[in-house]
Amino acid sequence: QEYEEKTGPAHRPLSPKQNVRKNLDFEPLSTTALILEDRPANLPAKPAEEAQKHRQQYEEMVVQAKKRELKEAQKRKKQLEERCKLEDSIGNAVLTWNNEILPNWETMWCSRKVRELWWQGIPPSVRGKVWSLAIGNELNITHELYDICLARAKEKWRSLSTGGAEVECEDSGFSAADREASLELIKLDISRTFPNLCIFQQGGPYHDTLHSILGAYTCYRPDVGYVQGMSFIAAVLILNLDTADAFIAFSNLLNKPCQMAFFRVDHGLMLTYFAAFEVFFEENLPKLFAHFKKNNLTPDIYLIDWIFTLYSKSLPLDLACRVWDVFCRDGEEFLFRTALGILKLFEDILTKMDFIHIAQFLTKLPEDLPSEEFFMSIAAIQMQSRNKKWAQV
Amino acid sequence: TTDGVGAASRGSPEATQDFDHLYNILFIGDSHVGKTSFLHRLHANTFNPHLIATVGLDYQVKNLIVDNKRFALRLWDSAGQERYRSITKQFFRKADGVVLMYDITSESSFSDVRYWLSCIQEGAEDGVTVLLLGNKTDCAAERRVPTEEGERLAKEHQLIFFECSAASGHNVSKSMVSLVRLLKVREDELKIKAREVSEPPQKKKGCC
Repeated sequence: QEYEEKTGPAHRPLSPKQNVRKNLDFEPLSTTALILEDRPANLPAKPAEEAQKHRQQYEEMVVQAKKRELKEAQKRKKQLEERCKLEDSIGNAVLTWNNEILPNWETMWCSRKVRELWWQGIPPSVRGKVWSLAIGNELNITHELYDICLARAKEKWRSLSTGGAEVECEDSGFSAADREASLELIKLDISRTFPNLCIFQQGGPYHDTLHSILGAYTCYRPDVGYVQGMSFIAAVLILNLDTADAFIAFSNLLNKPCQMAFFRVDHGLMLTYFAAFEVFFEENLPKLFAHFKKNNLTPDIYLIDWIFTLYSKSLPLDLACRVWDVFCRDGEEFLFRTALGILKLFEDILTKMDFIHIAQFLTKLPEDLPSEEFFMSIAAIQMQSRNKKWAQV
Repeated sequence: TTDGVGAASRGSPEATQDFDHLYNILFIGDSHVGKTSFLHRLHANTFNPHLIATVGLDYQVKNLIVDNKRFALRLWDSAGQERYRSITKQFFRKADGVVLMYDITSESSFSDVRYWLSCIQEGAEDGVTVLLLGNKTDCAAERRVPTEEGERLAKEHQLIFFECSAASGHNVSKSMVSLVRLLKVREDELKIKAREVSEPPQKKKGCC
């Protein structure tokens, strides 16, 4: 056992079988881990022929290790270059957004150049501003209104925790029990929102912010109240905007027809959305569509989770934010286009799966989703069916 | 593993065709009683206190070997919030078994069991097998629902009943095995009935 691969402090001798193998299927980590040693003095020396053979094998191994080292160095260099390039382009994009686009929002936002830059993903430092502008404030919510709603929510919490008399509110049509349950539920759900980030949990830096926004919303829209899934949307906004602005964006976002339909669980409207989605599904991915039909896999099974949380729960957060970017640009249509993009990206895997595995796969998408492929796949989806656009279908 | 029970290895999607019986099981109950944690315990045999809230429905597959028979369980995990019930409802009909869970530290989750039972009655097939589970036995100090109350309710409605803990693993697989055994009994009964109705007996499909 002359060759030793030094892995850390432990010396792991190679088995003789591995040693004689011509096509080494282990590759030494680096040349420094390879040392050719003679047999210990207390053993008889190797015959010259064998020693020669071993020397040759040793040299082959060193050559291979060197090749590998070179290849890795090149790879690292390339990665570094790519990262620099990416950082440069993000830096440039920030400048463009800040100096050119944001000051001239009204005239520029729908220009071709801006739309293209937008598709690349909005740099995190301007993301919140762009979202706010794109979502708009149709509801004319002011910071003062947020403060008022929050104050009311706090009053309710106080009366709940002291078990005091009922607080008079405008939502007289809704039972006190419902409201209490929904406020209680907010508390429970906050710590279950992006638990991995560890910032929304009890004692975390954004716990109270998330609590406040959701509470204020139940006072602002008691007819909608709190619905599970909302905490994810509010959380993503909090990560990109100040509290009051996050509330404004949150309320306006939920006020969009598609979000209203889902969060009020308007079955008729939801079915209309699903039906429209299926038209484009069949058009874009006929084979997979047939497979889903055969397996009785209806769109509600995966779309509910995706639409309710705007993909923030099922996609890695950075990808979800990029989906939000374009969603802010293109509106609800893009949510369904994203869904088709996901189905297209995984078409081959999905066609081999049965009902429950598809359902399981689609509600827990792989965490290492490749972002470029993913957006290319979305880009390949045509949102036109027999010359009809999404809104017409 | 409990008496004669083994978890079949989690194979590739194709491998799940290797089973003798397939059941759809729907998990319902108030929000935050521990449905997802229970499923996580069943699946990974660990407790994850930081599970993400369920929105709409989640799906899981579990292969179990009980009494030398291979069972594939399709587990449907539903969001507990009232608003979602109209969505969950349509899945009642597809369920062979229902797991109705409450939290022994929450009286309201227990009083809502009656509401959930009415949902089952309304939406599910007649005679669907129901397992009533009182979760969180590890939080004994905060217990608000005595075991006897759960037992009484189960007896009244002819449900299987267990108290369990997704956190400690107490009664998790045991309760599922009981449910699976009962589902098997029911399946056999239905088969016999079907054979009596349609003479001559039909060729058995897949099972046994």
